[in-house]
Amino acid sequence: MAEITLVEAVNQALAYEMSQDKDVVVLGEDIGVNGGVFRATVDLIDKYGPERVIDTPLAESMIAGLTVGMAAQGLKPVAEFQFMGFIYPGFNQIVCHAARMRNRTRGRLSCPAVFRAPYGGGIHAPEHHSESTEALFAHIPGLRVVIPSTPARAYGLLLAAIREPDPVIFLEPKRIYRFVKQHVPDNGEALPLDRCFVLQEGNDVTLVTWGAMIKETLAAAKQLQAQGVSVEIIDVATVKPLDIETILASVEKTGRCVVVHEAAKTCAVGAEIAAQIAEKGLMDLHAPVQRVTGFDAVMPYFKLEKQYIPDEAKIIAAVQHTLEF
Amino acid sequence: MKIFRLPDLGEGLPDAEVNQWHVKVGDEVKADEPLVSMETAKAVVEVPAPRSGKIIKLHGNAGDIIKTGAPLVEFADGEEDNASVKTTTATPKTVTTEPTKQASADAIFHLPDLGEGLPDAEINQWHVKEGDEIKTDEPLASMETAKAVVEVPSPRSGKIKKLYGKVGDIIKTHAPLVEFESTSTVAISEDAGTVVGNIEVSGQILDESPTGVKPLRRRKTDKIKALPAARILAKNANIDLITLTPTGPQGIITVNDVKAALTQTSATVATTTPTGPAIEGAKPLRGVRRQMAIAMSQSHKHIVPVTLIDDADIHAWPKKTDITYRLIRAIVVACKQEPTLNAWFDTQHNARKLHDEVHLGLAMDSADGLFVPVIKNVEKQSAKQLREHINTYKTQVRDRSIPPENLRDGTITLSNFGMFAGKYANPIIVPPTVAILGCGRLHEQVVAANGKPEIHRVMPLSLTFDHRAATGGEAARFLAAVIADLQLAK
Repeated sequence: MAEITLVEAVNQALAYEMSQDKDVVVLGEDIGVNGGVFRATVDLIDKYGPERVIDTPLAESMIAGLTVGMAAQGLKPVAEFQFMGFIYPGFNQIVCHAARMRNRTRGRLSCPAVFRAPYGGGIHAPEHHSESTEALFAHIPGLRVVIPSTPARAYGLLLAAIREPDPVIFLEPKRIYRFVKQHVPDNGEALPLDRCFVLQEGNDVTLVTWGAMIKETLAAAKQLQAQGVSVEIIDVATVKPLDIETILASVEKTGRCVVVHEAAKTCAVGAEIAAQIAEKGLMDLHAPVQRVTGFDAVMPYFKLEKQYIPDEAKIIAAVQHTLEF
Repeated sequence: MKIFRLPDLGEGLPDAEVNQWHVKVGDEVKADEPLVSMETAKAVVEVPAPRSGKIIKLHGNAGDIIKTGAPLVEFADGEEDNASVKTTTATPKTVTTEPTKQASADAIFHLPDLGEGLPDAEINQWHVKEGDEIKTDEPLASMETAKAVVEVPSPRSGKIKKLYGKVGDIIKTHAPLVEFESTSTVAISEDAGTVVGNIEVSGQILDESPTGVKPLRRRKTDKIKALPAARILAKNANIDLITLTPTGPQGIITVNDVKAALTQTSATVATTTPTGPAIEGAKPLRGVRRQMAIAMSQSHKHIVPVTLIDDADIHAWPKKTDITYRLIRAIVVACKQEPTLNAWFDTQHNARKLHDEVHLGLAMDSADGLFVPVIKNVEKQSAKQLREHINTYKTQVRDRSIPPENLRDGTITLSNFGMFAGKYANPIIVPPTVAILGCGRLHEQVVAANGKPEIHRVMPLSLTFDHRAATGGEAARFLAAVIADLQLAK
């Protein structure tokens, strides 16, 4: 069994679940014959045919609506939006229908759908292709928002998302789609949704992050450790519902917390984490919670992309601030 | 890379118009610096330099339309243009017409749609034969369609295994045309994996558990919990939180806890190390006077004193009554009735301890300073025993021979200052006790007795109590009990 990338792990999870559950269908633009703009659905049409691997017209509102309808009537659709920037025409269907299907029908119907979208910047893409707007969905009651950061978690979390009886927004950090490879056994084992994963244990500071920012966070932690700072790293993985208990337990131990995310700062998931720490873990803090984030500005084009995305230096500076507070 | 070709600026955009050059021939550019603004059907896009280098040629002027994949800029150095892979990346929409099988394991190349919705094409001429090695973009075959004869380039490099059809055969669009030797990995690596931008690829193997590590969930009980404001206050004052006693809910150190420690420290500082401008000729206090200064300023810092004054009518007393004995007896009686004033108060922990026994501190003036020797268990002693104690202490204070243990552990204090002058005072409590009774100058005064003015001997009393430890009612009842006992004839 060869090591695979994150995007290959997405493909592996889709293929596995389609082979096990005939109710699973995938749909989206160019996902069939083309295999997807990032090749996440490559070969699926050959294995499972065009009835279950559906190339749709370029109409995201329709993709989302179709997905809601299929899910409400017993299928388990996995919809792909080519980029998160194109999900908004489907926002109405997701927020007004998918998220509240169970509530509206008093439990008679549910919406076991997964809405997949590559998200985040850093690949020199054009406009609308680089934003991180996970907070928009995390804010909506009835939606789960899941973001894997490694091939193994992409596989396990996507399986869990497909099996979840309620809608899941599954955001794939495209910047690290092919950055590392990992041994991911195709055993159909799902990972738990609704919990954080502690990637590294430490005593001095807790770094909380998700998605592609895991890369810079791990690099920063490595440098900090060389300076003698003991860093605990938490991959949030499921940003909604948030597993605050894992974060609180860590902050109780370290007394310091730096939240790192690529999304713009205001009203982002980092704000929610900082608020919950303030509510429930304030007495453990040795310094105010720091947020290292993108700017409250439109995600820029190629040249300034690197300046927008938090880098190791910014993370290290925030950690130093908490240590020297 | 010597020649930089126009990448696809959107998704499958066929071309773009040169809006404005940001560089000219001869310029040195750095990677990611803007080369040119290009106007597409969607937007004006800055095209960044893919590399650093000197520019020797610009293809096109403002207003010219450049096709996607066509040369845009030529650099002075770099390898001769081998744009096969780049072109594939740059014109991703051709991928749609090329079978995606390229990325999969089987190596069959299917006839792409050579026009717009053409159903088939006729093989005009093969440019390769089975067993040939071919490079990407080299012509495979000439195909004749309803519209034109079209060269079909090879989508990849590799060895030709099989040709599907002979010259003159009609091949349906999307039907197999050529089969390559199975080297599918080559095909995959040539797929950029994205229609826009560049995805970073590395061969790094991640060795990490899918669920991460299991952290030790130490619920450390010895972990200090403190309000952030308390932490910063303690830090600025250089106070270690571990030395503080938390009074907040769930053992949280509050700002007040830090402040309490601060006043304690500053009280010590104020009395042990003089601050402020020095007074010329002043001599530092020593010994008893220094102790008095420290004790009094501590008292002043911590204690919340309230002084209650009243008179005891001692007209009924026989001649030669021992005043001090009567005062002690009255205090013992009052302590029994109102034990809250016979107590110690723990400022740090806001705790108090009530005493069953009465150890009386007796304020004594001396040339060296104030002494407060303690008579233990006054409640158990006769008038004669007490008098002996008092006389002994007087002598010992005078010749400074009083043992230190006799200066400790008082539970309440009596100050009989009235033998000199002064009727009332606000006596200062000695920590950790919570009450001191002062006795002023005995004198005669007109009092109302049985509805008539009479001249009686009265004893002015001043009771100071620590309002943190006792209520006003408790103190008033205590003083009432003292007066009641003092007003007895015997």
